[in-house]
Amino acid sequence: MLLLTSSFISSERDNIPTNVDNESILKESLSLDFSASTADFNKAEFTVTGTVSDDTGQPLPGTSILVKGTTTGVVSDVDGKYTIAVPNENSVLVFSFIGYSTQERVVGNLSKIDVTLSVDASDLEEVVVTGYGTTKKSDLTGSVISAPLKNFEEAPNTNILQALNGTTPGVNIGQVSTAGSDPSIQVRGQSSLNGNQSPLIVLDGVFYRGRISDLNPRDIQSIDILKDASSKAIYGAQAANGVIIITSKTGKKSQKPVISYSGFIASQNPANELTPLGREDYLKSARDVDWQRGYVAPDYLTENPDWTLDNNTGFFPPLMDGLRNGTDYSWYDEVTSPGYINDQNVSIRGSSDNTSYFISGGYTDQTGWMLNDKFSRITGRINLDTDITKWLKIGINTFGSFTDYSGDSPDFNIIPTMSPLVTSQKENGEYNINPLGDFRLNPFLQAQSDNRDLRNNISAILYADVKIPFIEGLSYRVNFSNNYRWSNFSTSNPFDGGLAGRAQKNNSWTHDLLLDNIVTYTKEINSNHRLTLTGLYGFNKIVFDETRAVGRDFTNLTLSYNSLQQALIQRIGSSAWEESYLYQMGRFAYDFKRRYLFTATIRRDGFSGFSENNKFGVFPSIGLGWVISEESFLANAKNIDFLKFRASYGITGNLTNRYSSLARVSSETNSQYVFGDGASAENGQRIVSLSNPDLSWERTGGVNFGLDADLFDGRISANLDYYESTTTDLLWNFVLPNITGFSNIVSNVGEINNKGLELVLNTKLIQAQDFSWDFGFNFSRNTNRIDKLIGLDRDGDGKEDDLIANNLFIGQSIGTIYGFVIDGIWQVGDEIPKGFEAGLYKLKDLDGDGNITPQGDRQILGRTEPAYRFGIQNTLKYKDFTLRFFINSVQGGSNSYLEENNPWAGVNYGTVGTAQSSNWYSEVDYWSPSNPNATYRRPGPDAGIAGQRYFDRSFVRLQDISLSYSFNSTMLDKMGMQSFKVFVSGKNLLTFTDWEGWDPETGQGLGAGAGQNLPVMKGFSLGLDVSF
Amino acid sequence: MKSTIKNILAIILFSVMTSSCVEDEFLKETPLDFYSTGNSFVTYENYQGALTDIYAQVRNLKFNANENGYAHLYGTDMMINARRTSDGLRFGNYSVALNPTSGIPLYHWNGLYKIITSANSIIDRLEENTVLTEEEKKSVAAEAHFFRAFGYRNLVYLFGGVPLLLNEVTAPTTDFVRATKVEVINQIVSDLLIAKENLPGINAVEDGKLSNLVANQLIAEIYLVQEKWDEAIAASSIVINDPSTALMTTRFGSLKNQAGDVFYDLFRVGNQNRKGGNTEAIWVAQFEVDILGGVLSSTNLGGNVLERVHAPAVFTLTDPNGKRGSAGSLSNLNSGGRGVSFMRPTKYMEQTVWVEDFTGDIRNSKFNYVRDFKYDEPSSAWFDSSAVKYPGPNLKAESWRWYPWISKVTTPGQHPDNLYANKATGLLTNGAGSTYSDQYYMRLAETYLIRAEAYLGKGNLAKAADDINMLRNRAKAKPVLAGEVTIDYILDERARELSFEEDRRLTLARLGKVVERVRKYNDLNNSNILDHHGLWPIPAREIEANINGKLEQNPGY
Repeated sequence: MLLLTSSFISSERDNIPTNVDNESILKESLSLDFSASTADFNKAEFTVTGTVSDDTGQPLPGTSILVKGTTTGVVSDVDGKYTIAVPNENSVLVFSFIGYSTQERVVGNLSKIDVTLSVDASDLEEVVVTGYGTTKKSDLTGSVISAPLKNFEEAPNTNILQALNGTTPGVNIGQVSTAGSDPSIQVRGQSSLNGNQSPLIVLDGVFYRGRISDLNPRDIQSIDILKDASSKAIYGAQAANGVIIITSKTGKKSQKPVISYSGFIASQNPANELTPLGREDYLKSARDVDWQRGYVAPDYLTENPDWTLDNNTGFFPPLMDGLRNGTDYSWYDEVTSPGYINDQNVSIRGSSDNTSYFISGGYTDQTGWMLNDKFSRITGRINLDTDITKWLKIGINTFGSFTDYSGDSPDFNIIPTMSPLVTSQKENGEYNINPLGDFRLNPFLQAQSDNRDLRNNISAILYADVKIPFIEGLSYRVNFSNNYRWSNFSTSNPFDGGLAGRAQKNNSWTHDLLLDNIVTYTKEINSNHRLTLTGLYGFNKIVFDETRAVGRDFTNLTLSYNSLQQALIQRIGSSAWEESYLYQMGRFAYDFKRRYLFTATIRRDGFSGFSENNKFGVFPSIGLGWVISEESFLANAKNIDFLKFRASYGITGNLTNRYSSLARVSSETNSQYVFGDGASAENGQRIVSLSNPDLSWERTGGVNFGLDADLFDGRISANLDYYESTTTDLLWNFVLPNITGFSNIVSNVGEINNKGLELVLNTKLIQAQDFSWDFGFNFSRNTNRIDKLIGLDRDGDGKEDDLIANNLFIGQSIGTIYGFVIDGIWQVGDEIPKGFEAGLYKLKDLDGDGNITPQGDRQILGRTEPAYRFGIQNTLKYKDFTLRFFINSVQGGSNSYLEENNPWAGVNYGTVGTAQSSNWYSEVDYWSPSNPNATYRRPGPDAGIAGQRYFDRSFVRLQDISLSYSFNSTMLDKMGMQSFKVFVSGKNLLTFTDWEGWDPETGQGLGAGAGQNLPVMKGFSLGLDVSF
Repeated sequence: MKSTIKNILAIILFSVMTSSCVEDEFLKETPLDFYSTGNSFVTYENYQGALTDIYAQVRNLKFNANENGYAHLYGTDMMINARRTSDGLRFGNYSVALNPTSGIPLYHWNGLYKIITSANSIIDRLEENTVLTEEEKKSVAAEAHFFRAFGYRNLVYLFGGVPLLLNEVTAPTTDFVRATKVEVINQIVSDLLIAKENLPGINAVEDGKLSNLVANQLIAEIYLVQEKWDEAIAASSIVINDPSTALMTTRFGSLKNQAGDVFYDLFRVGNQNRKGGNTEAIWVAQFEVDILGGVLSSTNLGGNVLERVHAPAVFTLTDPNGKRGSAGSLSNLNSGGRGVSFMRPTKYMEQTVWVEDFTGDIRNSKFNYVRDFKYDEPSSAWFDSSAVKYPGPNLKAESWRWYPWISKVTTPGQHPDNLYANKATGLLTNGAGSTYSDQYYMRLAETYLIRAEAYLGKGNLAKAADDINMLRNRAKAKPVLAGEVTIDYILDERARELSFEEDRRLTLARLGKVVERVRKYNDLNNSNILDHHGLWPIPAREIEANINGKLEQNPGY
């Protein structure tokens, strides 16, 4: 029998020995009867039974169940089941488990009470992965945030990073719009100009350089993001952009096998729809484009009868035919249709004797909204560990991911520009090769490719943990990781290669090899002093290899890309590269009574891509923590459960790209020449870059101050961080005059300052018996400022000059927009300067010299970076129902978060003739004499000196909403299941913004040529989670 | 416990120390799929490769599907934007085409300086090289010096005095200043003197390569700028008197058995190189179809797209009934291949220069200057009638749809097989539009006109007329009288003889006549060309990037 006391259970903050022998608890987790001590209750006591499980439906063995106000308590058994005797109907049961939020239930007349405990996000006992080790959240000295993955289990995300979008302050995740693509990631703003902008990804303890979309989101246990310089410094030269640590699920010790299934299907449609002009509007626009002739002077408001569509347009014969036939064809409708996602996962998790395991299989099939935008993924993971002896544990984390991106989509930049007067197919079903009558191909032909795009990824991390004998606390771990990624891109298309047929096969592979040796020593002295020393020595080598073969001019393409030798014209190519890393790291962590915390690290990094004179860098850091709530003066502060102040400083680096310090001599086809008729090619060579033997990594030093608080019995938890960092020796493609023969050189210049504020607030607003409401709010703001560039002061005013050619401005942000000021649109009848016409943007003559010049008439218009971001998470539970919704917002303030919106970004609108033959979105408010107050200039040729319009992208978006129903244990017992949850959810259902165009978050505006990305999708999904 | 920590630290330190010697080896960076400057300027073949690249650069700069290379034709006295719209690329409006931010000046500036800096690298590295023989060094240097001169020649004509950079740049340089025009010209001369002394004779080089005649022709032109008439006469005479050169006067080459004349033959496929029997060619840009380094493709537009740019869009024509009048783009002299009507001749080019001998001059024959279109759509009621006599309504409305055009830009009947949608009728696919013949950079005919200019400068009008008449005689045109020879006459003769060969803008710029001639002969640009457009603007990017020096902008920009 194990005695439980109320003080034991409620003292979450206390130092609960984590090495409590679970088995002894479980084996003896029988109902404990303390009825003797509760004899003074009036009514006869009775027994309540039930099951305790976690959010995922897995049973929670070892949960303590206490009758409130008494010392009566039991713990749940291996299946999460419990039986407890309660004194009366008014009794309240308190369910608590370390790492989960405590729940209270009034017994009433129930004899069976099932409880689902959810992970307590603010729980300080939570273990955080910090790199080459773990620590309790309460012991952190730096700024590390764990992603609230739990809140997005019902979202139709095929990429785990989608769950981080807006939910983790300081971590900015881009939208994904094409099936299976990886979103962009940015941690705490931009600290680099041209250098790598992506954070370092660490998967199960080792560098991961594959695509995140290769990972099955259901295999991920946790994601921790190292944000401040001191936490990141443990990864030294690669850490300046932040570190994202992903940990996959493993088997739980002493757990009986749990077989889980989860799956969902989701719809995929654009969150916002734009529609190209239909026939009538399109024909009117052909006149508008040629307005000087299409309408009658002087006011150009009356149509010119002499100007006819038949004779005066740049329409080629097929458009003329369409004009006469009354054709009104929507290219757009033909290539888009509702998409879907089908996601299915099975896993087994458990342990036997000394071995624990997690084995999973996943299948994702995504069909996008655009024709042939497809993605499918098969993943398998086996994570095993086993205790060989008392001092040796070995394990392996393996996964294989087999993704298929096959299918060639029509170019999304072209489809909306296709004229409604022509069709994709003739009446007999044959494709119109050049529907417009010019050399441009029917965009549908691209979709006729036999296209195979396979990208595979297999990985194995073998590790061994050795407890060094005779030295208490000393252990050694070795990680040996092999990641092999290979891809096969093959395509063939009979219409390609000028209709003679073209086929291609590219094979490439990357091998990523890593060995880490980690020595850890921990020592505790009279429970006041605790010390952890960590040493690391490791290396990493990446090898890439690619072979390409292209054939053109086939008489027979039946064998597609598998018989390239049939091509009359054959081209081959290959490429390869190598990268090596070598590093050592030492960490010293010490705390006194868990009240004063101290961490210091130093890392030395070598990288092959560093220039000759700078092969190694050293990156130190220091962090301090003060747990104020442990101080005696706060001992009586009832409402303060926990209060900690953190301060840290560290230096991190950002790598140069491999080979960027070398002078390159390229030998490409554009250097080849054939002397004489019928001769063969002679190879040429061209110097394409300057060498920079002093090129060095970027160095970011930063401080972080943080405050963590848990208040009112865990009802409120808050984290506040303020940081400031300075990046020096920025990697920059320094713009050179082309006189040198080079347009730029990769150099180290200047200094950038980033500072910001991040707030996370989690509250349990309501915690009633059947109803609870958790409310979370996060806020982040980051500003960056260029402090120094190259120290140039040509005007001698003592202040450094801006580098206008580089678009870098002292005292301004990196995303500064510098350009002409648009002051409306020139109108018919205005006195218009040379080089401009009515219908074009009117540029402000800032220097008043009567001339528009780039030197005199440009100024700072704003910046592209947002002013602040916030996210709001709500979780409402009523009985077995859970409703969650998450609101994400990015805001620009007065002149931030601006983006160019140019409806005429595509080349098709450059001349009157091509503009007439091209279509655009009906949402474009373009200038014509009868629409003088338009937002955008007229289509057709622009002025010689052109300006662009910029708009605010601020938005508020209902990004995720889900409603789930979990069966209670009575029903589960009948079904013989451990958990059963059904859910519906919606993604990106509502967006509020003033931005015109596809989507504010991606910055896709009204231009057809505005980018390859497809629109952001909204979706409804229906899913099921069960486990046995 | 302390000793334990010490031990651990010692182990870590030890492992770091022992490995540091192998660290450098482990982290050594060796490029796998490209060369670096350290190992690629060693052998004679390396230097040949560097020169080959410059040949490719020179060709790509002038003949490019992006049309930037045609800036030397658009907006001159010869050619205008057929659509008459204001876009800058095709010089619809001078203020749009030429301003510090526009693309055309930057394109040429970048391309020419890349040629110059590539030549600089060769010249500098040759000095330190110990592998090549002195003979090899001389021949490599001669070509490099020529290309550097060529680059500065184009720059100085277009922009005036430009920064003189004569050594390889190995470190970031941002302190350029403009040299004077005279300094640049002097540099060109000294480079060309080296080239002309050391380049081989024309019979000793492969087709497409530089010979001493190429250098002599270019230096003769530069002497004209310097008004060194005797030197110009001497240099051009070397070219003219070379026993290996002569004007072509009888039918020759690939289509000699078809109807035509010798001027027509000069521009047919396979007829430009000396190996094809052409003794008139001095320097020829080489094109091959579907061969690496040949630029042209039988399946895509590319390389030289003059056919597309200049030939009219006959396929859009309707007959007088408003029905389809054209069978499409055919590979014949009626249709002109796959033209889209972007660049049409000015009235001056189309009419004025021919007036004195409209019918006799074979350069204006129906083979060389196509002045009618016969409706060729079989279903048309107007089949085989003249579109000039019976224009359809859409040609009346839009004159760009058809205009008289010069057949140099196309290859009737000689398009690559893959480009035919129907070989029997000659119907081309919409992917046609490239010009599938080699292109003259320099032809002996021009040498005569250079020498004529020198004689004119010297005041020897009779000799000037003799040289001009060499061309007029071959063209069966009425000879010019000595008293009629003026610089404008020579420019007219150049138009007749060298259309689509000479870089007309460079010729006019050399003579300082861009603005004058455009105002006089170009009915589209005469209203929008301004006095300062004779020189191009220094690209704003260059001024801004040159942070430690000052590049003065040309006046007016």
